[in-house]
Amino acid sequence: MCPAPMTAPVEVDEPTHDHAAEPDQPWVVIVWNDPINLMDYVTYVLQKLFGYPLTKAEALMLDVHQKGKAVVSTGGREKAELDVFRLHEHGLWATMQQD
Amino acid sequence: MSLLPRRPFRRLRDGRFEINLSTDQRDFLRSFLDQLRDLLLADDPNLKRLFPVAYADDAEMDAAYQQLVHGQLIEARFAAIETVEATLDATQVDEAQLTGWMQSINALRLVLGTVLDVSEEPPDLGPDDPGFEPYVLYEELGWLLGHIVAALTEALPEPATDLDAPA
Repeated sequence: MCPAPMTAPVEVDEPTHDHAAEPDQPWVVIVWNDPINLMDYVTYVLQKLFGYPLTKAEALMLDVHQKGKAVVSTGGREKAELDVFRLHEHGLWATMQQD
Repeated sequence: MSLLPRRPFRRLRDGRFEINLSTDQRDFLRSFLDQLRDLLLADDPNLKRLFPVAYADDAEMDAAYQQLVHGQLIEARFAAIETVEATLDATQVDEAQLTGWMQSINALRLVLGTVLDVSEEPPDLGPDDPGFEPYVLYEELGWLLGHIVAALTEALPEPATDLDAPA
């Protein structure tokens, strides 16, 4: 595995819908490493679902692979749950929690 | 290993996708999809990877989530299986159909990988081991999936913002 000296994606940009001003704390959607899903597949899914450019999707995928997890999106509970559902539809190990 | 055929999935200039699979490969997929449908109908425990936990630290909220989405996730799998079965002998498919192929083959890998209890390291198996042939099939599914992902990646729209790439 080659080292990837990239900035840790703590905050991620929202390419679309981000105007639901929720009173509560934002939720984070986390993708966890798993031994089955292919690295290229994970990169593709992150580009497709979130509209991320290849570089960003790859950096997130490498965090998942090397650090065990990565925050792939943030937002209100409904949006986070929809994101988790779409990741589950694609077979990724995604959870959500309030930070 | 057998001689690898031409790229099994290739994006064409008109936006459609060419499929180059042998009869054996198509038959093997057909048989696997039949088994996946049977497992889905039986709610088999080996399908656990198809229904991941959403709320890792809140069992009550997770139960509500699972109740909400379980049926939808199963419906989506059946729809993807039907898409593949309807186009299993086709030489060309469109993007939505190839997406169904991707979802079905990934579901097959998730289930077979669960049954084989795979890790990130390849197992040390000789050709006489009972787990050898299923593992070869698992690798074959991964090879097919990798080519589908490569073809579909070419079809992704340009991202709206390309300015946040790491320096």
